[in-house]
Amino acid sequence: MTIKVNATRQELTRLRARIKMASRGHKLLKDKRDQLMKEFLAIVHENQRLREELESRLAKAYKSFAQARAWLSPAVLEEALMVAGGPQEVSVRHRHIMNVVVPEMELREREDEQNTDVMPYGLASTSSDLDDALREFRGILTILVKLSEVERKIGLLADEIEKTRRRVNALEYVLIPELEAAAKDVEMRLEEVDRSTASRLMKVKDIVRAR
Amino acid sequence: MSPMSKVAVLGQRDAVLGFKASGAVVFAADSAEEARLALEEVKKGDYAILLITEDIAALLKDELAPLYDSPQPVVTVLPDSKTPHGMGMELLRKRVERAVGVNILVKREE
Repeated sequence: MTIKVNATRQELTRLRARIKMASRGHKLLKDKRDQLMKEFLAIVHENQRLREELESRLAKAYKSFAQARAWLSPAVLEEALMVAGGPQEVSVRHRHIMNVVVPEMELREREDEQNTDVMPYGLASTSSDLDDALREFRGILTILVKLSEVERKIGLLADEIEKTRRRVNALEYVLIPELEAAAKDVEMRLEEVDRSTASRLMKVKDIVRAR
Repeated sequence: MSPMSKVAVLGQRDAVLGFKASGAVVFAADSAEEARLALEEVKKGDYAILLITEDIAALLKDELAPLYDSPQPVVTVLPDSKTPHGMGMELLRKRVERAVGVNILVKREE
């Protein structure tokens, strides 16, 4: 697809202005893309670290929990779990990274549970494996909230980077070359008109002089 | 803006029971049908995060797909007790690849 315009000086000026505008937009978008990429890479690395930590800790927690389960009767376990926790809340806020709205989540500690070392169930009927497991799970939940936040950020940033990259490429490889080609075309046509006018004038002059 | 929401955990009974004490709301599901019902429940409720174990996530692949891009809940895949690694990383890898054009995660492991 090429841009078709009338071969006039006015159109030429207009084309040149568009080229200037497009290049400026191109530069800005490129900067945006680079910055997004920088943020993105940092977050990806953080994500990787969190995943690794999560996987090792989760394996540990599963192990101690399995041990606790083997020791305790299902009824006792059920009871201990019932008292051990109520729903915990997460607060969600939003932050902007390069115009992308990303969530920031934080696990809200319940007030009555400042001291997490005290387990609110009967010590006599449960084993220390259960304490370890539950403490571990609680720690894991904090990591998980962080991980969820980070993964969502990655998703949102990835979409934005893709969009920006497309725009940059569209400008760089399609719009700007097309505008330049059109401008060149108009320029050449104008020169052609100039030349033909000049030669016509010379011819007219000759005719006038011959009389 | 800082609304308060809860965390949901969805997975097989063995894998998620431990989260009960951590303050998350646990949905135990041992079949695809149960998992589907639980997912509906989560979608209706006020949950900021849905943690889902790999095996269940694999079962509910189609139902979960639209959730990965929705604002809430944020779906995070959790490795389960049997098979660590895999799906969570895989999902991430795909997104990174789409954004960057190449897979940058492989390079780092060298």
